[in-house]
Amino acid sequence: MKDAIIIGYGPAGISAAIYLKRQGVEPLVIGKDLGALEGYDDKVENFYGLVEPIYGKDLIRNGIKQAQNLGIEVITDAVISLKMQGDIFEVITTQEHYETKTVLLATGKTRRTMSRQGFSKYRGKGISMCATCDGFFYRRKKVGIIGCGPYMLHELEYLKKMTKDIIVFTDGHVLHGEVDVPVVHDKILKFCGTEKLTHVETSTGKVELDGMFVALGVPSSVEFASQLGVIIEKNNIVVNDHYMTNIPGLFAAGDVIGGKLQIAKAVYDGMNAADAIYNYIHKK
Amino acid sequence: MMMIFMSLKINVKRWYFLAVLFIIGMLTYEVENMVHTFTTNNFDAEVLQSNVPVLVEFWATWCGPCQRVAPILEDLAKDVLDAAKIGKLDVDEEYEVADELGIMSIPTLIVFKNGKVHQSTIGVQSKETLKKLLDL
Repeated sequence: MKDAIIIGYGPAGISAAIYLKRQGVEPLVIGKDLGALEGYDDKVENFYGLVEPIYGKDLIRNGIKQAQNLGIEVITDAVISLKMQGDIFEVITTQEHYETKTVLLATGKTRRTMSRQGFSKYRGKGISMCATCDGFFYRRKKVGIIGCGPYMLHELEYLKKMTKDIIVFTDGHVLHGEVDVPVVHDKILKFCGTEKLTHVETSTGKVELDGMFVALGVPSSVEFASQLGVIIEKNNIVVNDHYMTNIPGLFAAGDVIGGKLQIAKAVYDGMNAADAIYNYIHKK
Repeated sequence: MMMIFMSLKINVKRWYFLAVLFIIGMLTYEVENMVHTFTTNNFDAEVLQSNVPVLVEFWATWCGPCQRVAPILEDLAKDVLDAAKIGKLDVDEEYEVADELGIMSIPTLIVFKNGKVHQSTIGVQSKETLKKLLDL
């Protein structure tokens, strides 16, 4: 059992890890990519102490190295699910299962919605982002699941308990892993229906469906937080003054909680969240 | 309650009468501030015919996120007093209403005004957001 798992190794996550470590808590940091700063082509020049402007991804790599030099465990893996057993969190990645007393969500924001015709219209009317939340409504019905990796396979396993009639849609991507249900490799063009979703149109035809689950790529922290029942507003995770969500032990910092999308703010969040996590662990 | 009324018959002292009034008042206060349970049978009377806006949470016992909505609704009910009615409906037990409204994702929160769907939202919301949904 870990004391704290930090999801995301950007400025907020690494800063939290450093402050936790200094307070004697050994955090595990799990990151999957360099986040918003990876695709940021301009150099960062407005952050304290930068004698020369630096590429965002270099800054992030430096942060990771800095944490590792301090003896903090940092791994690269993607979290596909976050669950709770009593007041213990279970963090499920593509490789491992971890148990922890606290979790800090510091993944940044890379919101993947599907910008296809009909997606917003049928969201909650046939289109679902969460198999464990909505799978029950599709018992013995015909459903599709969009995705191509471990996250999709995880959600697919759950859906199989509800119905046997499932089609995987890779939406033009390469399928990683094996499935024992039919697979449609075409790109989805359009979600169609009346009051509810009735079918999708792909580049080669029409597939009738009662429901469609979206499990593309890896879930954002907003997605797995909402599956646990965290309050989300305007795509931001809502936290109190102590960076804690409405679920005790679950914290969030950085871009995911909104506010200024700046490194300085993320670092500040990370530092404060570390204090809050320390106090939470030691109050128990 | 029966005991109190029976004692009332025997004992007509004024203070006792006041005490009973107080208890009844407290009970009414509690009732007005609680989270209601809506069913297929009472949905029309309690929700559609209501004089005040009604917020209904569509939920189920197996739904993880729904468990997080319960304390928010209790808190909300204390805040809105009699300006609105707050309640929940189990989509498994009362599937007729849920099916009729086409609920396919939970938690779904719907505000009914004058018997019609006024606004709705999916997922766990803060108390403040729910107040806005109720136009309060």
